[in-house]
Amino acid sequence: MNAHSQPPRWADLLLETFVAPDLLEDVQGDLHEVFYKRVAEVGLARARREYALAVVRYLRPFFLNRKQSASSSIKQSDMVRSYFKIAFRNITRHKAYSFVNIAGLTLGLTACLLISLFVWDETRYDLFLTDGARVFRVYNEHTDAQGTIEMAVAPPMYTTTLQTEFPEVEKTARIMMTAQHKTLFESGNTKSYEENGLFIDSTFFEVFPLPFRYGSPVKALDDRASIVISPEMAQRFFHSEDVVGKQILMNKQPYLIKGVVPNHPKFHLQFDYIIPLAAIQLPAERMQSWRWNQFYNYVKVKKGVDIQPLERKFQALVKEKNGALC
Amino acid sequence: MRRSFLGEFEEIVLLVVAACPAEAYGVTIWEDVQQQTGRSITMSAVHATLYRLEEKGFLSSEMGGATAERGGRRKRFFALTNAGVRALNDIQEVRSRLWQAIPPGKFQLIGFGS
Repeated sequence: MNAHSQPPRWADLLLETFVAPDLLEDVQGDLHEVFYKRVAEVGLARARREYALAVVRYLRPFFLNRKQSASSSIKQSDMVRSYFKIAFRNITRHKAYSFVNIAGLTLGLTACLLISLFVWDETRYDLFLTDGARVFRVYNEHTDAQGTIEMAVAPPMYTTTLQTEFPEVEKTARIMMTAQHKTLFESGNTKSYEENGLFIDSTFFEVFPLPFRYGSPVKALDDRASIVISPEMAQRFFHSEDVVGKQILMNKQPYLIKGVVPNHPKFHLQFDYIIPLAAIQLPAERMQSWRWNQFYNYVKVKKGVDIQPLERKFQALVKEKNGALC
Repeated sequence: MRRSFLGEFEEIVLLVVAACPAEAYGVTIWEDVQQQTGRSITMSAVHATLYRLEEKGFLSSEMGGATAERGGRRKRFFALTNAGVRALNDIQEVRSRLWQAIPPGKFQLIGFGS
């Protein structure tokens, strides 16, 4: 009898690994008996095929190690089950201790997840802006005897100098830091105080290309009596969003609406209206200041500019200017 | 008293074991079940049923001696237990009671001659 007149070896291996040891002997014996009977009846090839198909039918939970006691070897699953059992018994035995532990872990994990979520959300800002990666805000680091403080606001001359003396810079824009204050707006009979205004350089929309719903960003705020508002504010005053070309009074002065720009939830600035710095007519000599920390200075550098050398160059210049003034 | 009921297939296997003139084991039972019912049945179904009936206490089994034609593997011989005999009798009683309760002439009405 050569090896090929026997049932397929792989089928036997399958049977031997799967079927419970206490059942294996007679199950396999019965299968083999039928196999040899079938070899005589229908030939070897078909008998082997039938044998394999018959074996496959034994791959069901019923035949899988059904009797724990019959199996002499200790299985991995028994050990794991024992661990869980002991863990559960310990938990129920030391209820207060377990409660503190589990509650603490739950609280800690929850806090960790919430913080991660918050941090992740913070990194999602301003990504929608075209060339946003090239826009930087210049911050102010001031060191004296009391220590070092960092401020987001800086003097107006930062931007002026960066724009005129640094060829690496493509565009700059300032926003004046203002306290949240109520400003009276009027249109016809509608009067309302608005709080969220941005006072900006007219280059603002070149640094931050926000999509206009109505109007065009080109030269939108070049004229000092011009204004861009949010769709919500347009609705409040005109019951319509398409209000480009209409007039609105701010502190009794007329402003021409040049655009309607919706707030982007992931833009770091939120506003109801935007007006040019020229509108508030700051004294020219104040705008020459190197110490008046009242502006957020934004810089858009040219493509391919390495920011670190630029930083060092500008820091040296600021130190020189401040040294001269002190 | 908790009772184990017999499924249809279990009942057939149990009856085949009972009817077997010689000692009954997997292959003979499998062949007889197919022959008696005319159905094509896998051997694993027969084996699973035999072991289940043994668990329920309707069958007992013991291993025979070593045999040459099965690679030295022993056969497992099955025999009815008292509980198995009782279960078959119970079923038979219920059946005959019900058969007797069928009103005479009813089968003629729906087209079956007696």
